[in-house]
Amino acid sequence: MKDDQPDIAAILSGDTQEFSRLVDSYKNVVFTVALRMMKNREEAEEVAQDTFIKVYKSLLQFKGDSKLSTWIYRITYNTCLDRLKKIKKDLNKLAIEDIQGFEIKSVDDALEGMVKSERAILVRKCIEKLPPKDAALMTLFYLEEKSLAELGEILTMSENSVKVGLFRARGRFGKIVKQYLEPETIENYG
Amino acid sequence: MDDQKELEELMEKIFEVDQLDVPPSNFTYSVLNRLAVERKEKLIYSPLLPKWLLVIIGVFILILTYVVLGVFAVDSAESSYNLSFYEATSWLSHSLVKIDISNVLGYSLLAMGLMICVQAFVINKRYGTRTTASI
Repeated sequence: MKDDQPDIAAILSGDTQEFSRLVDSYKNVVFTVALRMMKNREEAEEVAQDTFIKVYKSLLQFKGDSKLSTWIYRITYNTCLDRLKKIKKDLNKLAIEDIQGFEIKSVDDALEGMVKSERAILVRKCIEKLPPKDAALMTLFYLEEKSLAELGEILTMSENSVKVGLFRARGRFGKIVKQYLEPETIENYG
Repeated sequence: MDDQKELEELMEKIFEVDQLDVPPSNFTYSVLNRLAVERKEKLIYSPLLPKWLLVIIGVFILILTYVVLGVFAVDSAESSYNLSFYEATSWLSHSLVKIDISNVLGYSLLAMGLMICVQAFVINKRYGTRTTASI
């Protein structure tokens, strides 16, 4: 994608074709982050569209200090937060209550016994249970392979806070995975 | 510390199968459509001729009419009605009639004024709006 960066100057001069190229380049990540934060497909689509409208409107303010992707993901993240506040969804509420600690080894062993597609389903189900901020953090870190510095820019926090946030998010995610891998759940996976 | 390392490795393993979600196929079209609608709403209509210019033209025509009427009034000064009409005109026309304007020039100025007036009206009506869009 880096070699095929959309031409910002062309977009600013009103080239909608070029803007559609930008949307095509980033829509999957923007939609994924929105979906994992909003936990609802319709809302995620709306937020993702809002994000690109905002991107278009404020493209003139993009100075190129950061990567275009970082800038777009920051707009995505903030748009999601605004929408969540608007619909008064609790940003920190963990859907699974009272999750006990877990043994990494047992989860690892259980994962070994699952095929790739089953693991993919498991990840999606578990991410759905993560609080929105954790979901965004984990998605951008593992899927987009953003560095701590870039994550800090996107989430407007220091690198250290990102590190701590990631550590906590991993812990919470591991506990959610463990709950999904309880014997009865494993039976459901077949 | 080991636990943290193991947890990181576990996460790597879990997320290596994770994939991006895909929005509906018409997503880009919807974005562009929304953008087009928003841009249309933001169209600003401004008259081709600004108001101040119309006022200036109006004042010019008014002055011109006074002057021409003044000339006519002077020409037929014998008529008491016209004389009183002449006196009733403003101080501006009163002072302007001191400038010697021939009938031909007076008619020409009136015709030109009317022409400008009609043209301004027609042009304004025809191309009365120009659109400017802001991002």
